[in-house]
Amino acid sequence: MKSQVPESQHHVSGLLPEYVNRKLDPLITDQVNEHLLHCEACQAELSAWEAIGEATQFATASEPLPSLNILDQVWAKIEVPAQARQISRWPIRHALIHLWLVLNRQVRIIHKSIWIASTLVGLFCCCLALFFSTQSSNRVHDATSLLTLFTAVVAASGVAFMYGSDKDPGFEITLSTPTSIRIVMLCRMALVIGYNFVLPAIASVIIALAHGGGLWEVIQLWLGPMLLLSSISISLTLMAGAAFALAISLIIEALQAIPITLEKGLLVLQLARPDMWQSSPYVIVLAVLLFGFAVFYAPRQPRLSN
Amino acid sequence: MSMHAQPAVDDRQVVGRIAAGDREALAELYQRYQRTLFSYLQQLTPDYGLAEELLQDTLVAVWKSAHRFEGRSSVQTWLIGIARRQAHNTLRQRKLPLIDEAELDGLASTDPEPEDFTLAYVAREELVGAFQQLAPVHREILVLTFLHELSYQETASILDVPVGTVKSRLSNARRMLRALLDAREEMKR
Repeated sequence: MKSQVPESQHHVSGLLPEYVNRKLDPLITDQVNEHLLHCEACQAELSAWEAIGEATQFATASEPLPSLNILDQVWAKIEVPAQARQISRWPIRHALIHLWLVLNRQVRIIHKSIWIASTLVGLFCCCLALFFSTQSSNRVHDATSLLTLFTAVVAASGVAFMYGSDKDPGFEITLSTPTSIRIVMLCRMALVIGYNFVLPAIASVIIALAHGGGLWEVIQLWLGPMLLLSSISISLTLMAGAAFALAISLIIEALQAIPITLEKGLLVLQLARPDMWQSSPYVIVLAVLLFGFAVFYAPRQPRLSN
Repeated sequence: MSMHAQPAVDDRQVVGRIAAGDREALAELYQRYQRTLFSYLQQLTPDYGLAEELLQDTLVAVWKSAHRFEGRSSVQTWLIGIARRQAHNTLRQRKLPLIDEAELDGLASTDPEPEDFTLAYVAREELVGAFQQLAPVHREILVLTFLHELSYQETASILDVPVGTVKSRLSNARRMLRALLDAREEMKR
């Protein structure tokens, strides 16, 4: 769109910036030229605009250029929303894949000693179960009590040493990833407790087969204590450290599993009856609450420890 | 001289290729207009990093909206318009100072102003110094007019204001330059 042709008796001030830019159409340009021939005021104003135009170009010529990697960053910005759209199309599938990847990586990160100790104790439990299965039915209680004792202690020890800056060489890297610390914590707990479940479960199968009765009846004797002691252990680890948590867990387990009685002036240690410390709803609910606390509290733990 | 001298028809073909998803076309357009866009954005913010971020956002917006370009304006005008919108949105979101559009844009004078007789004789360095002290709103109008060599109508469409406002902003920018030069002169004395 072109400016209106100026009337000859008027000054052409309003047209001069476009005149400097050569944006006026030829007819108007001719009329401005003609006006400028005899108008000193407009000539001065034209000189002023030309000076301003030169100064503008000169001032901006020294401005720095953008970085060389601008386009790379542009492609990154374009591609991230595309990935996000893909994720939003299959949110559950992507969440499950993400969870599986995190779970898979934690197997390598968790300290090997946890797996070794769990394996050795699990095998020991299986051997004990096999040994007691050849004995009288009264010995089954001893077998299940020992199973409860070892399973709970090993699981509690495992969770106590599975997480934290002093026990995990990759802890700083874990903190720097976008994956939630709570997800990491949840995956590690699932792995350690799950692994500590498998071998005692095999021992329970042996006991159940050897002496009859349901498998669940044997499993429930040690599952509840194992979960509760593990949940106490991880909660205390986050708040007071792994050594303290392990000590407290051992004391609790000892008080439950190895009661001390006084008979005829002598201290007598004995294995507790399994029904004193088993998978009651209260034990399970308490364990779940403590696990929930640990997962909730996990992101705050590094800051407190620092 | 305009900052870029590629034929406009060619520019439109490049935008058409971008609309078809051609990545090299975006790189080509960027090569042609990187100085134009970055220079403009640097008038809106003194923060180099933020100007780069705005440049990236502008190119992302170009990639996404190339299919809506109808060729009613030049590609340069379209690009600067996008850059301006991105800058305003970001500055507003981050509560950073915006170009003051509520400024009183007053009527442009149709008569030469007496002080302009001397403006042409000021040393260029002083004029450049005064330009750099101008408010973004005035630097912006001068850059669009004298660096990018846009017409009043093109500038008005970028700024989304009437042509009369473009003229008055130019007039105000010149007046502010004069005032800054006078202030410098006073300080020397």
